[in-house]
Amino acid sequence: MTEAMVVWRRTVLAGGVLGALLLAALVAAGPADARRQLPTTSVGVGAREYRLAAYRTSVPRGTVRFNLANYGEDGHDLVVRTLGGHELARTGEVRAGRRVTLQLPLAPGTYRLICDLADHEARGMRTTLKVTR
Amino acid sequence: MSAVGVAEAAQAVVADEPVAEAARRRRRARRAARRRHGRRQAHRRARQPSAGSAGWTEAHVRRLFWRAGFGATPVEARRWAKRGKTATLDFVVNGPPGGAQLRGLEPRVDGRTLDPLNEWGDNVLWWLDRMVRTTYPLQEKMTLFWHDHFATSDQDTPMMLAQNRMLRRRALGSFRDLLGDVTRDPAMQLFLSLAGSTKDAPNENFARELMELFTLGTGYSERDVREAARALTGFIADWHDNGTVTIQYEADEHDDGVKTLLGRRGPFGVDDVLDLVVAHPKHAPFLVEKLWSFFVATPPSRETVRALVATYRANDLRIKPLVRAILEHPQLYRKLDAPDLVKCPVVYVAGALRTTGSHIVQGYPTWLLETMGQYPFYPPSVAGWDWGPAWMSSNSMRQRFTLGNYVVNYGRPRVRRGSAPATLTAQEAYELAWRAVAEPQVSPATRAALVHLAAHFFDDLDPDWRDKADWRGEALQATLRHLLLVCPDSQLH
Amino acid sequence: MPRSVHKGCDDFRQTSAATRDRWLSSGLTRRQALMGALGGGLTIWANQAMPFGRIFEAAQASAAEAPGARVLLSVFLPGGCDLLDTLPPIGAYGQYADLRGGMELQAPPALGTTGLGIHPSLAEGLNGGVKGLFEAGKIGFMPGIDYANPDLSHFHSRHFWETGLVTERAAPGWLGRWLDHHGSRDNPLQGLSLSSTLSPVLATASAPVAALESPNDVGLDIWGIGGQQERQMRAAWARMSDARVHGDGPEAVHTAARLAKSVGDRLAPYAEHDDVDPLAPPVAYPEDDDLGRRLSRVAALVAQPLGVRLASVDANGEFDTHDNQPTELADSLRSVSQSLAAFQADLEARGVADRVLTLVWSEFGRRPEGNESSGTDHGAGGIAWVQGTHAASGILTEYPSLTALDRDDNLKVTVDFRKVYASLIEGWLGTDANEVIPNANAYGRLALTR
Repeated sequence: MTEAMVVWRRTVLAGGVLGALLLAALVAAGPADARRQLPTTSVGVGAREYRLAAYRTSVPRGTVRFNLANYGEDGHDLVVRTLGGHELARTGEVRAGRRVTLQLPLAPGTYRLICDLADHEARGMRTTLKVTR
Repeated sequence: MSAVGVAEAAQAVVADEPVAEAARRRRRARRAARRRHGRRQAHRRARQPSAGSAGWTEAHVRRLFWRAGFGATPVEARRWAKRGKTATLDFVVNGPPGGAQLRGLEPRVDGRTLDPLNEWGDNVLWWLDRMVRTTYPLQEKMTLFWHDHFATSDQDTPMMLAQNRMLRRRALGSFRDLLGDVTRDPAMQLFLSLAGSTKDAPNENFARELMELFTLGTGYSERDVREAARALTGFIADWHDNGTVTIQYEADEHDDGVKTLLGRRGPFGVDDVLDLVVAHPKHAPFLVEKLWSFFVATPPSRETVRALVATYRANDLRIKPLVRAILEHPQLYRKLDAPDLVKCPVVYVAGALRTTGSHIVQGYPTWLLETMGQYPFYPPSVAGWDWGPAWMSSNSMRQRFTLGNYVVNYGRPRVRRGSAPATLTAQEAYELAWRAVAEPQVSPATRAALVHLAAHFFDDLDPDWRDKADWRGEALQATLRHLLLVCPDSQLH
Repeated sequence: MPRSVHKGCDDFRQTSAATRDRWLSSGLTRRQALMGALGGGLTIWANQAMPFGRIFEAAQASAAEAPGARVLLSVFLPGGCDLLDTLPPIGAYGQYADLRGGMELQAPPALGTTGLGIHPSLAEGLNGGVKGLFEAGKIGFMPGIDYANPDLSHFHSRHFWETGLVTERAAPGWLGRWLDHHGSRDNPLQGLSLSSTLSPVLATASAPVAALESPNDVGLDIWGIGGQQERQMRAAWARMSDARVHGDGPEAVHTAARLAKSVGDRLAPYAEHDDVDPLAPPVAYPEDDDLGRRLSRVAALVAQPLGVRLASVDANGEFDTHDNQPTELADSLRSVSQSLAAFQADLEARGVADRVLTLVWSEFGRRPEGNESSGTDHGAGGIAWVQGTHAASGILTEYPSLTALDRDDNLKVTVDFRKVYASLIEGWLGTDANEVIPNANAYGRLALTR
């Protein structure tokens, strides 16, 4: 059972922020009924050399929508992994100044958010997100 | 009448009877003339609805509300015209008793409430919504002023929102307090590399902009910049996982040597630098002129600057009395029939929504503000935006024209089915549209052009079918409302 | 031996404190370069150090709109295009292969007798692509182009190239400054940015310019109104914007209103009606390619009597090849080659090729040594070229040495981009370069046109 793709359309920006907003909506299969009652929570994520900041440190269980903005100079991406290192979802590479959204359901637990380009994670582009009951 | 006055009057009467009689006759004549004049004035006031006390009209109220905020609704214009200049200024400058509140319902966009922290664009909508619904518009206007003055850009949203809240708190208080908070603000410190500026490697960015852009303009040297940079060392950034930063001060990283700065010598620290710059003779005129140009399109005379500087200094560099003095100044009320200050994009959009009683219901203001050239939280540089005529270009004008579509279709000025029969006269159609968009101030030429449009809008229809062409009548209303909102006159305030 | 990854980005962060402080003390944010200008009228932040006044007296319209007036097009490749893979030095192939440690091009086609090769993707497209244009004498390559002591940040470098100044302050674009001196007061189409936002290259202090993706989206539109009512509405707008007003603000508003309508009116005949595209190109451009689509509009609009003099287009490709360069650069250069080849054929088919010169540029080059991700990091000494029937052809500048590198182990800069700008202003546009580029005479000149 898949969730609907949410299509975001955005113009190229002037004066302040440039970037096209793409939605990379990735959905994992799961029990649809349970999910329907659960909320979708947005988490803003800022990427720059070499930090990854998630604007919420914890969210309730349900669907999480990561809104990644690349404030840096180089390309970055966002990868969501379990603590054990299993990859759950990822965005494509996001160029400097651009944004992308990644949406997926997360069960309670702690997750790693990293940029997995080159050695970015080792340089500091990593953070965690807790999903509560 | 004082004892002395009575004695004097008695003496005058006793002194010269014929002169006194002539004087009494003259006084009677003057009183009669005043009564006649008073009756004429009353007639004149009666013909102008709600003219209020002499010299304070609806036009004055609109001017003040646009300059100090985001415009006035027709109800506000009538109410405050009656209450007089002082009461209106008190209200505008001090805000409502009990502080600012947001009237009405929280906006819902795309079926959800705003999440300014986590949803892209919601931060802009959140601020715009404050401008539309606040009971204290001057506070939001001054927050916008300070956001431009202490321009910070390109920092993570949590920090920009925190800075915004700080600017709002400090917007009308002591400038020195505001300056202190800005200096310690995380977004600003990261933006201008003040965090991490240590005694071994002092960074001059903040020190330079502090003097050039924030407080003085001129009157300092490169050496002052270097010495100020030394005095401002010691801050470091402590990063948290959630994208916020705490600024710590490490005495070990501070250069505590003696500095020579703006003609003074001493082991200056951060607060000393800030004290010195605001005490500098160039500071008051610099800030006065900048604040003036935010509210008034034409430059102040030297005497005006002197008087405002005196007010600012006499009030310990507090912002509110200075702002009040500018908002009371007659120059702000010149040419009430021909507004001359270009509305910046934020004021234009927020004003269109606020005055028409519309709300934030969609996300279009974000990209519209970007293409108009003013995207909040992203000024183009630490020098902020370029104001006044610089907002205008054929491209930005095209975008401003587009706003009309959104306000007329999704805002309060929506044309309701059956509300605009095609059989209205051109004059009636115009008046209906004009009232629906909050009675904007337009020139006679604009009015004539729109009435002309209304008069010919049905030319291609068979006259026999005119009374069935309500759809065309509604289209005319939409067109008139749109044009009234976006016409050149409405780009000025 | 490959360097550790992203050394270039690290270099940016460790750019000499002096350079960075000078930059950051400018008040220019790192994002300035990626920001489009503000709606078309970027004005100069008042600063005595700037040699340009705020208001320039614009020249009369007639000069700008004279039929046959020359056109200069800027095509920007964002990210920093790698010289060594674009024009591989096959004469020193061994050294090139050593530096690139396995990711070097294997058998790049030779570029005539120049001793250089060319990336295979640049041979794709009509008439042999960019390689074909070179062989037809319509391209002059400029390897080693950059500026001294390069700043390796995208934002800073791009800003320098866009303004023609290694400056710390906000400034109009170099082409914008040309229009301030030589443009008209009332033709926004004289400077065309094919994008929804104005390219900083064309940002002016006072001359009007226009940003548009297509003639379809420039009219003044009220939803639900069309036909005669739309004409009446626009006539009302014209009447309202013709009012005589006083004061800088009111005048600016009314002028902008008139020009907004004027852009719409002048482009209306070229908008699509009933599925007919009056600007349909006479040649085949690559499908689904934004660069191709924009270039086809430039060709079409230049061919109309609209007074277009300067235009600016950005390529979409990814040239900032920190990793996976072989694939990414191949894809990006393919789009460039196919689009530019179609563009040149289009101009020739429309009979306007003699009037148009194209400058293709990027904000810096890349490091000669590859990194561990099959990519390269920011470097110096990049690649640019001029293209057109009147372009000087051949290799116009000295190819940097692969052995004598600069002190950061980057390719040495052999030509300053301001020399190129000054040469184009004088050699192609026929005006004094000093009006636009401060100290223009210090850079010398290059024959870029014939």
